[in-house]
Amino acid sequence: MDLFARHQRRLRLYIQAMLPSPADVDEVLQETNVVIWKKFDQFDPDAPGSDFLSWAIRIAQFQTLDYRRRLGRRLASLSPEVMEQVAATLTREEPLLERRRDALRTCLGKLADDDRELIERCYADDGNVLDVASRLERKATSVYRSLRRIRRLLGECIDRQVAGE
Amino acid sequence: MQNAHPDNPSELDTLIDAVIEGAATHADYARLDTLLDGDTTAQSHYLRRVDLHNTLRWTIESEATRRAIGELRAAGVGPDGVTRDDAAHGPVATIGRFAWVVGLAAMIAFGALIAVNVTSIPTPSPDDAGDGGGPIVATTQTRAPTPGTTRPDASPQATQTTPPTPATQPAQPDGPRIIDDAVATLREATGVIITADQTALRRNDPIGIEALTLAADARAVVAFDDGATLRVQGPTELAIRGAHHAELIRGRVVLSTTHTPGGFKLDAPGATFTDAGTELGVDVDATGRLRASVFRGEIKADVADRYVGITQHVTLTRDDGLDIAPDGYITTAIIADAGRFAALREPTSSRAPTIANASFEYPHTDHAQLAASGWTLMSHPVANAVGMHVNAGVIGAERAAVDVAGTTPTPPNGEQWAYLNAKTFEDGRLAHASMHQAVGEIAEDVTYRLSLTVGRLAHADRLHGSLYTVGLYTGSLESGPRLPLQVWRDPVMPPPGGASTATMTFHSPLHTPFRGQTLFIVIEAVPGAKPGMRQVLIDDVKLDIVNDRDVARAPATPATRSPLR
Repeated sequence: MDLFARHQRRLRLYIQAMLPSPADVDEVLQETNVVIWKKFDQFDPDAPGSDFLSWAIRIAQFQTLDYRRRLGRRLASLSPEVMEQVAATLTREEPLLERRRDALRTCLGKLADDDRELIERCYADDGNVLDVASRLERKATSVYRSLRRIRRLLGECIDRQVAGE
Repeated sequence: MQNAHPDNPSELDTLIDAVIEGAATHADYARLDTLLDGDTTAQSHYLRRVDLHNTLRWTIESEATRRAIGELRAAGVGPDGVTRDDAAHGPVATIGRFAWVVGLAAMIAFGALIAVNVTSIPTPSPDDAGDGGGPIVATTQTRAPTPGTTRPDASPQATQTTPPTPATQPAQPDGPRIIDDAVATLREATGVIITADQTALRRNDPIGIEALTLAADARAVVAFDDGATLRVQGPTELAIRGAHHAELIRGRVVLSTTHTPGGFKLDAPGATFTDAGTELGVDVDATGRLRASVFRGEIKADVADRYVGITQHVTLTRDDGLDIAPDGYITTAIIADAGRFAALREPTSSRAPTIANASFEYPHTDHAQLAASGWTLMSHPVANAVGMHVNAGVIGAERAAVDVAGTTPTPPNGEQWAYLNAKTFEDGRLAHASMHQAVGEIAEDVTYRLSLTVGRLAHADRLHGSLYTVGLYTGSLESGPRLPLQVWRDPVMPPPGGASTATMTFHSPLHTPFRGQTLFIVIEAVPGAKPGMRQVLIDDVKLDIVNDRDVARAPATPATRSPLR
């Protein structure tokens, strides 16, 4: 259970990187969790080279492919070959990503008040940018543009934080 | 790879933004595929950007939840049932994305309890397990209840002194669930079904105004006190909003309702269905696409146009369907799209009568003498008068609008009436029209409830004798209605210019010889004793099977309306 809880965010990241909409991600993450649980007795943590995250990502990969196959052409996503490569990169990069996640909190504190407020509204309010735009009496495209800018600022700040550690 | 300047993003960043915003197209993914293929630096950059987006959501939602719990604690309330101020979903929509993940963890943990049979956990009694395949639970309810919910073991002291239980396993009281504001009962339950406060539900548990989450393989039947049922197939998120109101957030349900005054309201992303005496399936898939199909009766849907911002009012009748794409594109009049609900249909659905076009809105016309879709018009006796027409049809909105004499009452359902004429000639010949519809198979040991609204024009002559009859008949699709089971003569007589609603019941006995034969509704105009033409208006026909309790609740006297257009 501890393993399961600890890797939820990582699994979500992998699936999010493969599929376009949060709803798709939720769906595949749920299916992945069910499979992980069903097959958990097949995972041997003591086996040489055994790594829960790699094993779970492998399952997420299969579930994503299965979901992609089921939805057919309606679902836009990466190709299976690139999915495989991204999965390998994710496993390799996970320690760095963890440090970046830690740095995010610091960088959020450095945002201008308006930017911080916008991020909080959009991410805390179930990510519904249209609602936020309506409440702020702004166009949705304008809010999206602001969010992109703020995410890039945060990305740069995180780069600096991690490089300075 | 360095981040591009915020004001001048690279192609890769633009594509990543599209992925993050859920707006990436096939072409975007194809291009992204090319950029990422074999380039580990680009892959790292991609993962970092997507992870930043995920972590932002995780962090900020966690902070919001923490703040809400802190506020509740400060107010002396326990941490459960925390609701976000979500205008779209209202106060009971506690299952957002964050809670969904947490709930999922809870479900898995809960599954673990079942699967591993941990010896330290007390073995539940057979009563705990329920007989519907519901989850076996051996946890003790220690947390404060959802607002509006009470438990025997919940006390303010416990709330204050017990630290918040991590939402890693659904809690369930040892005894029967007790809540104050129950509006429904979980009549059937298979698989993991949890409430917003992580309480696992079992068969026959009462359900209040609260959110429910069903795991992927779960099934449930939520039976409301007024007789409406929601058959739910997991994975589904659902909120019970009242005794006659539910909201489907995501997943699949089939709603069956009886003739409750005011109907039952089902909200779904992009549409609101108002439903009385019908059976309706609604599916909201992972992409946000909504698909609805009507199996029985007729429903009203308010469909929100996501771009124009104008709500469309749609009427869906039997075998009709509606599709709202994630991009807001609305398709109506979809026929035979109900296959996805096969697993959720009532086992007794074949017994339930199904009326098509009960409001006579199809076709929408200002021309009389067009037969309403689904109904068969007949003239009696056939061709008995030279040049006689089938004197029946629908009265459209336009005709009523130019009715300067103001003689047409307002139809109760939609904008059109069906009308039937009857004529008594000077020489004594008689002619009249009828309409009928096959509505299903005759079942045994059931009570049918039939209701309809009858209208009369304001300038209608004084009546001499009966005006119309309504009947349930047996027959076959080949021959039509043959043998009356029960016929009501003028079950209600509206005043000129008015409309009245009549409700009638008919009990089909056990071992009826007509079991399995086709059931028909027949409505017939009756010629008068004196020469002249008379007309009866019909609207809002409903027929369903009710149980004894519902029959007892049926209005004893017909309601009369007399607003003129």
